[in-house]
Amino acid sequence: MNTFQIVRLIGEAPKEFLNGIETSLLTRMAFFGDKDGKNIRPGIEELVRQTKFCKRSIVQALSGLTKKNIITDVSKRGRGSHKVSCYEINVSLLSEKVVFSKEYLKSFKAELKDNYNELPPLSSAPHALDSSAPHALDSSAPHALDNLENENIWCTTCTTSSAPHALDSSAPHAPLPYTPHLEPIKNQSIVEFDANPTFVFSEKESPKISKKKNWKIEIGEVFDYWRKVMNRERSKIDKKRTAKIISALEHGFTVDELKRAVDGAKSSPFHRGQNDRGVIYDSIDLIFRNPEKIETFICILGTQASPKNKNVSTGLKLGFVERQKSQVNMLRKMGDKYFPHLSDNPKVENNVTNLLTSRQENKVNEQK
Amino acid sequence: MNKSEIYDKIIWIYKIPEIILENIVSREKLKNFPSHVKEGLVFKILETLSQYFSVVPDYYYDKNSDSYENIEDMDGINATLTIWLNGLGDLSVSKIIDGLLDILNMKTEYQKWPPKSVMQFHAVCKSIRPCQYHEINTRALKSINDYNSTIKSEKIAEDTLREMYKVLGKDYDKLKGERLKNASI
Repeated sequence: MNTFQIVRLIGEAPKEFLNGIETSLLTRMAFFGDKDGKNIRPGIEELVRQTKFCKRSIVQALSGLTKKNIITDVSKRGRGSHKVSCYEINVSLLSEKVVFSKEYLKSFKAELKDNYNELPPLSSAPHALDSSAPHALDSSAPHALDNLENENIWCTTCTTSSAPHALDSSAPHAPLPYTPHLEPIKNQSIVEFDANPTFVFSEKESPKISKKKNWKIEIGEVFDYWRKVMNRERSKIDKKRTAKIISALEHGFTVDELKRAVDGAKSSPFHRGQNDRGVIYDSIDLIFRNPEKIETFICILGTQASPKNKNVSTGLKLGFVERQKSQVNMLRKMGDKYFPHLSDNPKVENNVTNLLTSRQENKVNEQK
Repeated sequence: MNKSEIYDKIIWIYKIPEIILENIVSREKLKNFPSHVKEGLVFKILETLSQYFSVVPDYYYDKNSDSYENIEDMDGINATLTIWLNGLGDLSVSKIIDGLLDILNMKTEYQKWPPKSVMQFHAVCKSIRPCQYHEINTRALKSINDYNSTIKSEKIAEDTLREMYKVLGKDYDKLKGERLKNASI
């Protein structure tokens, strides 16, 4: 084994197996050790200096590599000892992974080939996928394709190049991945992968929700209702507002449900200004922000019961009259407890009021 | 409500001086009542005063008849009671009791029970007490130290109330039982 070969193995290892940080760290570490990937004794500070990663990330990467058994710490040092750490790269494991990835690629290419054959024959194609194809997909060339992107590039370049590729040629036609392969494609490739959907490598994004349906009537209805309920006659339809209502309608809410949500916002005292800030929250943006909000407002309309004492429910300070009333009631309870014969009935109040009225009448008569 | 019941309520106010002067409810006992009993007592006195005696100053009727009506409609509380409570709102219960005792002992210039108006009563309550009251207070504090727990003081209060009701010609325990029954219903 050579250090360069180890580095090559590291480079060819699948991305799922090794991180970006891990690969760069391993490559650096490979140069510190012997040819077999042993006796690697760099300090963490040295690694930090060379890789230009932060210390924490390097420590994490080292721990990750040890967990994956790519690296083994040979120096059996205990906790707190000042021994230098000595690492070994597990080359056999790396080579296994690379072989596995190569086999996987081969199988995938075979599938590709089968699909390719099913295509209608392209008369103008110079690279017919026969045995005389310049790039035999099962070639044992050292520069086997690493990934699909490279393959794509490879093919496009080949179409442009006029040089014939001999079959089973051991000569590397281009070193990968160091040489710049990405030439600007002047002539359009004849083999178009877009001809069949099976060759579309990059998945297209799913199309957005179409706004083909005309929601004009519904939007107008909901907006008018909101304006009427919230007493906002001056407000007008805006792009934002329409977008919010459309999104609500597209989520599957009916116009009646949206109206109920508006009613819920109207009925909740918190949103009508009985909060710590004393601000009214009744905008369309809030009510139809998302389906969750709409559902909550509908629920509020269903569940809310009128509280006996509004100030108690909201947690605000009591007003003068209510404070006095509560105080009086409390004192009355005290008095009733210890002075039972003075306890009042509802009849008493009537009598008292009668007494008061009679007294007032007397006063009026006197004035006359 | 029967006339007899109304009479009972009114007579209670007239008999307060008798009760206190005959030492059925002594001053020290009255002062050592638990705070909630004291509050209840003061409230009941003020309530009965406001209900059955013309203790509201006349200018409430003469000058601002509209405002009086407004006060009367104040969420079910009697207008006169609110006036009384507002008038004595800045005073503590102990001070009100001191003022009450002052009036009963004929130590004020008004020398009449029941008091004529809130202003009078307020002036009596707010006046600076002579030194003898201080002595009484110290004694009261000593007695409180003797009966540290509130339960004991409550028991004493109930005993004194029983005696008070005997003067009024009623059974305290029976009335209380009836009251509790009504409350539960």
